[in-house]
This record gives sequence, structure tokens and C-alpha cells, in this order.
Amino acid sequence: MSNNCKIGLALGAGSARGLAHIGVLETLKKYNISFDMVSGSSAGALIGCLYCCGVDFKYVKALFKNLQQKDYIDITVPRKGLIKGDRIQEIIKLITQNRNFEDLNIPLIVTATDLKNKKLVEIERGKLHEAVRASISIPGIFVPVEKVDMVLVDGAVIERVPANTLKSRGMDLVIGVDVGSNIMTCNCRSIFHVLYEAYDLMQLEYFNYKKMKQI
Amino acid sequence: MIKVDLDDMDPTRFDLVDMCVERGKAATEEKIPAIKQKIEELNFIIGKHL
Repeated sequence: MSNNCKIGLALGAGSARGLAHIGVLETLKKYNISFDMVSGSSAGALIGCLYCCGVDFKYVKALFKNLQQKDYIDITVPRKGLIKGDRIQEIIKLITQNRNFEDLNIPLIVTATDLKNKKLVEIERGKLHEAVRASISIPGIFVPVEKVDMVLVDGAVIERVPANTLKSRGMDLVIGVDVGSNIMTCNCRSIFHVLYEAYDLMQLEYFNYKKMKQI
Repeated sequence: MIKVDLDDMDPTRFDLVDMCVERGKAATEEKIPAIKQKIEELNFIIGKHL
């Protein structure tokens, strides 16, 4: 489909639910819908990054099917988070071949939340694996990424689906993809589930509040 | 907005990739006509001003 209009794709947060973005991207490709810019938050940042790198999703699906928790979870002494995050960062570095944002064919913006300055940070330069590691840092679960003037956690703390990021970059049409939960089930089998459920509930309430304010 | 219904899925189960992908595909297929229409409308409007 040839376009005069600029189309952006905003991929939202959702932890393992974010793997649904692969199906979304495969279907959009089937209909020849391509993008001028992609943004991603948390799991959306991970899949968006792989898409913009041109990584074959067959390989990604096989990887997730065969990964065991010990391969990507490095439990730490819980001072700032339960998972250190080094292992998952190494996996992302490997899949993205240590590439930078500047190497991508499709421009990508990864969002994270800066706890120090209380604002959304849009990362579009530097190492992809470092940006994605910051964006997936669910508070309490992952140790935050600390920079000189920033403490970075999951982008979804402020914006679950980073559509505004693309609107502000002049996209004529932004296709948002929301893989977050809309109903609250109590499935608190472990500390990870407790933290995730609480975080999901906060995200949903904030998402609904922002929608209400737009009316 | 494409909303993928995954409310019944455990957000810590990365091994359920096939189920997630299928749900993503189904949600997107539903929205394809609306997306295509919107792109055509925008192409028409922008084309007129080029």
C-alpha cells in the first residue's frame, strides 16, 4: 500500500502479553501496511525494537518457546528490584547484534519513565538493548536503570501505549496496539504476580483517567 | 487502537507465545478494513494538497 500520509505504530506494554505484537505486525505486513516510525513501551519496546532491526519473528517465537525462566531471570538481593536484569539485557544485545538506534531502517522511539524528574523519557539514540532494558523495568520487579541524572523504569508507568510520542513527531495516523489487561483477576501466586497485578491495576486506572480527561 | 484481548492470560508466561500471536492476528484482522479506509482518506486529503 503506497502512502502519502505518515503512519506511526505505537506498541503498548503488557509483559508476556506483549508477544501478541508479533501477530499484529505479521498481519499488518500481510496487508502491506508499513510504518514511518515506531514507538514502544515495555514489551512493546522489545518487540518494536526487534521489528525495526528486521529480526525474523520465526526465530523470536522459537526463542520464547524454548527459553526457561533461569535463562532470563537473575534474582538479586531485593534492594531496588527482584530481578537484576543483566541476563535479559544480554539476550536483547545478542538478538539486536549490539546495534544502535541510528542503525535502524525504521526510526524507533523507546519510552521509559524517569523517577527522578517524574517524566516520560523518549529514547531514540544509543544502544538498543540499554533502552529496552530501561523500558521493561517494571517497578519492584526489575532493578531500575540508573544514569547520571535519571532513574529509569518502565515507560508504561506514564503511558501504556506511547501514541502521543508519535503524534508529536508529525505522524498523520497513529495505530496504537493495547495488549494490557482490562479486567482484574486475582491471580497472586507469587511475588511477581502480586507486583504485576498491582502495577496492571494502576496502569488501567491511569489509562482510564486519561481517556476521561480527553472527553 | 487495536485492542488485543488477553485478559485471561498469565502475564509471566512467555512460553505461551503462539496463543498471544494468534490473538494479536485476530484482533488486527478485525481492524484492517478501518485502518485501510483511514489510510485511503488521508492519502486522498494529502494528495490533494501536494
